[in-house]
Amino acid sequence: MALELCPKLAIGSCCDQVEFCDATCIVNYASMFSCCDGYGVGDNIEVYEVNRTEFHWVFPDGTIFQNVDVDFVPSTPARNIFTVVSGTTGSIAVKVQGVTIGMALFTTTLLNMVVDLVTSINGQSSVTGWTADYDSNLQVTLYSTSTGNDQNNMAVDVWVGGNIQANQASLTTNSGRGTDSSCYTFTLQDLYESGPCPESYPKFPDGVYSITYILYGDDDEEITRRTVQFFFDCNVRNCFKNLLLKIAHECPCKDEDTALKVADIRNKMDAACIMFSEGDYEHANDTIQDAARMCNDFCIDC
Amino acid sequence: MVVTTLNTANLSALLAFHPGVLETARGTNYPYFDQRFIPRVMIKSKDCKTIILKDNSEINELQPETKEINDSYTTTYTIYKKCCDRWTLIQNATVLDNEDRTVFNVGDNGSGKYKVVLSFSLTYTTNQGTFTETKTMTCYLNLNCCVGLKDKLICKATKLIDDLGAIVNQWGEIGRDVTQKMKDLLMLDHYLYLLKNYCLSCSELETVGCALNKFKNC
Repeated sequence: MALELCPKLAIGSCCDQVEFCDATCIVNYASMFSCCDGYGVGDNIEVYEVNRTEFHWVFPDGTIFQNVDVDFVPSTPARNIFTVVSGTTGSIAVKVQGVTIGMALFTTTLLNMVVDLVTSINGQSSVTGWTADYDSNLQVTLYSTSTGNDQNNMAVDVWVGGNIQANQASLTTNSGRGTDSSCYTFTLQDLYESGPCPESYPKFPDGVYSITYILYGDDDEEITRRTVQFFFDCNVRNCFKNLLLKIAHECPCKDEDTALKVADIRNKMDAACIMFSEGDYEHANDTIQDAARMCNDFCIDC
Repeated sequence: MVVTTLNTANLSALLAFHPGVLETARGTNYPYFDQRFIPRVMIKSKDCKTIILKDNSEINELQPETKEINDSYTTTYTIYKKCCDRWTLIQNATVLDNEDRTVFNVGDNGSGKYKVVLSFSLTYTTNQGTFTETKTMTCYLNLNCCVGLKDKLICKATKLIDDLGAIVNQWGEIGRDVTQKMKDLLMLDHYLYLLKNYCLSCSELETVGCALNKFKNC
């Protein structure tokens, strides 16, 4: 299947952060069948081919921020690639930093030996921290089980015995990048670096956002993009909580219309959520901002 | 910082030692304090606003023979609270008495994880000179002050709604005005929504609890 980007967004509890995560499926190198539409599947690009990313943000009030580059790339595990070229007898073993992570004997064919080697490596991955996969050209790729650049530059020794021959493109691991997770936490400063901050600074205003995630390859050509809408109601939810706590503290039951006015806000918050989930972004935007206005202007009269 | 005065009367007896042993000890790097010290510190919190520490450590007597010495024993407590996955120093205290309790104020809502670093120090003077030996220990304390409170309040609000709903039904059947009762029901429903959908601190839960209590008299 074609590459289906899966951007995920989450709100920080203080309304001043939006966490973006690239949750696009990546082939699990120890289990090739766990991902059907993500990076590295079929003809889809590998996650390693993403050279840089950009974001387009459209705020609830229509303000647009284009080509926002925060140096984010999806995290990748460090890897090393080698190819088994020829041989009719002997054995092969792979060492990382001097520690053997897997080995195999030639029995019937080179392919069987490579399969045995990969099985050996993956069988010990929980201990060694390395997995492997292979292709029909007998190219074996080692991957760290953790993402990030900590596992780069480790010595990889492909030891062969008998008449087995193998080519190794690099003697060390490389290409690990990012952190443990493929996430980036946006603050308003990331978007307003060269312009004035919005009135709500440092908080993101409530409403419906449109965020476009764009991937670029080595030649800086766009690989693909995906636009998602994101519903942000953090401020009004915090306002609602504080309002109810204030009412609870000051006038738990002697008010006249408080319960009804609070119900109005709550109904609008719920309605905005439903509108958003049904794709009615314009009305969701208006309704959540109505709710925010009512909550901010609430006058407690016990 | 909490400082109390050392009562050395008992401690001198506790620190009695055999001079020969001590001389041998110093000569062979024999740790006097380490061998004779049994750290035993009580750490507790009853109200979630304070953490109480009491040093019940023992310094055992080596031999019945005593020698005139000057000694001082101090305990230093350093308390860290885990905030955003980092240990943040919140208070230091030095206590010069192994009997007194030390009380740390940890705020209105003390829920959280704490690390208490205890440093025991003994300074003693002998005919060989003055020596100071120190031991440290680290203890961890997890204060979860609101265990079950949220669930109890949800139960309470649900019961109040059920009871009030029954009254509204009864009154409705006999034609009494139920307007205010309906508003009360709605307000209770708001509190139930708050309890079910929001993350509330201890003090916030207590505020809602108080509001629910007042509904009985509404």
